Amino acid sequence: MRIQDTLKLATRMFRTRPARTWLTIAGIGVGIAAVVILVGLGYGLQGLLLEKIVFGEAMLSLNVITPPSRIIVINKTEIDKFFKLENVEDVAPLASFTSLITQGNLTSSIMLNGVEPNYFRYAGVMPLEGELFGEGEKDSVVLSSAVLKLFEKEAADVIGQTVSFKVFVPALEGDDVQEIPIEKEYRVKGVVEDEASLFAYIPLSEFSSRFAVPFYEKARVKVTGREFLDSVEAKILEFGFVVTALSKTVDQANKIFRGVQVTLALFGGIALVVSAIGMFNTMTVTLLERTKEIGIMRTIGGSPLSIKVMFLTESVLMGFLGGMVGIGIGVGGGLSINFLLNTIATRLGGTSMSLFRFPLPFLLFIAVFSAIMGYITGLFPSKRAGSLNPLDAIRYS
Amino acid sequence: MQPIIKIKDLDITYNLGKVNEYKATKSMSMEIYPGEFVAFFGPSGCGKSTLFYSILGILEPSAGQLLVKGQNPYSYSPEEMVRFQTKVIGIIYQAFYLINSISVIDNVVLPQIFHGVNPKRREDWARQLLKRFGMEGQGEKYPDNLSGGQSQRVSVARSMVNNPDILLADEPTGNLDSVSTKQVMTSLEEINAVDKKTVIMITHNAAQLAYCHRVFYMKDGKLERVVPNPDKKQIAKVDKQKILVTEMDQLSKIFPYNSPTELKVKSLVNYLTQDLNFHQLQRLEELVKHVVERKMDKNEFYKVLKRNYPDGGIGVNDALAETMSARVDKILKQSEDARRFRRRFLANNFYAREPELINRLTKYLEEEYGGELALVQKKRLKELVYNRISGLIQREEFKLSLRRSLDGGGVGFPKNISRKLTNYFEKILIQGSEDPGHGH
Repeated sequence: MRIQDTLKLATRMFRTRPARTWLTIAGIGVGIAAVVILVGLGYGLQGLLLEKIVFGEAMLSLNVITPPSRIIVINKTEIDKFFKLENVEDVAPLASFTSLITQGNLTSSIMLNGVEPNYFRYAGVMPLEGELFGEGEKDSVVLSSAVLKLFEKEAADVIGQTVSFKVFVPALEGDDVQEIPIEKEYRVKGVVEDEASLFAYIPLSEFSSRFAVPFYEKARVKVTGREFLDSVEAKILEFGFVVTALSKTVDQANKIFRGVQVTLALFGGIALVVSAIGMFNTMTVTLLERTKEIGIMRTIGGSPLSIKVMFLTESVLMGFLGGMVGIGIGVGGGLSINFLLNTIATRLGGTSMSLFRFPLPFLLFIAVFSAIMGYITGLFPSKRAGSLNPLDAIRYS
Repeated sequence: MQPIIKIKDLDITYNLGKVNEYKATKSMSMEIYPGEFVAFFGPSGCGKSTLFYSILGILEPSAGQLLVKGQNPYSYSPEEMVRFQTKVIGIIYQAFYLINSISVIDNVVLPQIFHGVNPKRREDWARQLLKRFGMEGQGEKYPDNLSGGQSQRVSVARSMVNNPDILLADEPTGNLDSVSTKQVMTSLEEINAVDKKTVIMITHNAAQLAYCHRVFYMKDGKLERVVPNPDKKQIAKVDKQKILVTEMDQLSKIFPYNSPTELKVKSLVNYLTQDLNFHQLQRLEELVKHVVERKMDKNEFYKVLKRNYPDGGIGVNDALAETMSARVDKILKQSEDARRFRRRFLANNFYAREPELINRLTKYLEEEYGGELALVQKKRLKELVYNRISGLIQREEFKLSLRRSLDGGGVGFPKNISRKLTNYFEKILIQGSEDPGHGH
């Protein structure tokens, strides 16, 4: 049989039984829509999270940490070594010392981090309020939001205020600690989000100009391309340092979200199974209804295969149309919810975001999958249709 | 010449090996030759449909030999079977079996659709066929909008679309009115005569046996007899000395449902009771039909009665022709009064007595009696005539009342006179009746 003839025979159902056909398609549509909308939500959540942590240069940097044992430490020579590694573009170290912070008449203990401004970019640090300091600014400090809590102040109150520090610098060897007061007031320029740890950033030059920095806590090593992350990481690991990469974390998050999506898809799958059973039922009823017709066709030259193909085409077509309807409902529904939430959010002063996302490859997969589902559902009825005894079929009433 | 279908000692059994095993045909043997038009004829349950499905290749015989074009279709692979059912056999069903969800033209080309024939070519061909069977311009309709006759013509076109050698027709006119029946039968005859197809038809309709070369009479799963049609030039070799064309062939056409013994009985009874033979009787019936329908007057009827049989007449002698035509004419004329009475009687809510018409009808009976009647006899006869024609009494009571003595309240006629007059009056009544009869 020619393809267009098969299609012509398979689309008769829209003429003979329009209501039943469309209801079955709608049933599959709802099942598919459940999957689409749930997985779309999964994609949306993943996107939202990754948007928060993924910044261009942060993805290209490795985080090198001095191991806690301090058998080996990051110092000037090591940093030069990092620089000389192939495909390394830049290195931004972070020196961290326990300090006392004084603001007004309050004094507390925090970690004081000295960094160069490019460190912020490589580490993906973003200000919650105010701004980060840039090149050449020597009098600015950036606080973590936990410090504000400590002072029981709002960000707006703190920005522009001044603070001072007293730094405790450990000796390279032994347990001696040298107390170095910094006779200088720093102006709070910004606040970064971290509710858990007390720390502040000041320009690194503020340390190095006052004392010899014995070692660095961490360093951000920026590579020229993502493909070099692994090779550079391996080399630094050879030196004996601990290395983490944000890109790795992102990969991890993606893996977790794949799991989340599969779980959501399984929930939607329940609806899909129900609608598949409905479609199977429709095909079985259609088979009974067409028994006589099959008998007629068999006696005027329709081979068992032709009959089988006719039935299969019908169910694949129904499945595929169900998929299309489902994609329509799912995407339409998801985007509508998005729109609704965003309207409410903007009205309440929040920011808009997309909670549902429908990547094109996913939708294509659903379209193919729904046709395959139709095929599987039609297998049994079509096999029976093809193997009917023509005499019994033609006498069936 | 080799037979196109050869059947030898064929048994077809339903539910073979089960408790409800049933043998539908028993050692049936027959040979059908290319170009023949044959009929399977017999009461329902005689096995004709069973044999039919077996030839079509969807009911395997349990024993014996079935060869179509020298091959056993049940030895075919599924692909060969499909080829057999398209290229060798075309089929027409009683209930048409068109697919209602596709157009007429698609129905006709459906067998070719299954074979992937080029759409342009197959549609041109289908349009030719539709035109040939009088369905031109109806191709775009759907079968549920067609009449029975049209549907069957589409079905005939479908059966011919692959140009098969054998056409099987399962009671092709069973669901059709007489006009459509005629059209379909003409188509079949043409397919047989012009296209030289072998046509095998199942039928219940004895009138259609005239189209066939040979008729296979079946009963209880057995082939009872094969009767060649003397009016058709035989294709199968029929030994002239072996087959004696007798009155039996003629009788079997008139009474197709009777067994040979019953036909022999009919032949003898005819000899004992009637001077006319079956040929004459058949023609006489046609003649009287014209007279009853008032298409032929007394004079013309008389002439045809007298004319010799070969010249289209009945061939009775002058005196008999005279009597017959006169009697028929008299009955028909007198029956007019009975008709008038019934009409007025029904129209006037059963209360009108119409004394004038009753008087006349009574007078016809008096004339038929011939003798003088006493006043009381006349009065009672008139009463009986009224009662009978207005349906108050039945034929039997009418007869008894004629016979009953005057003292007993009857007319007092002798037995044979009563019977004669009753019969006569019944003839007037039947001719004057507009009732189709309650036996139907």
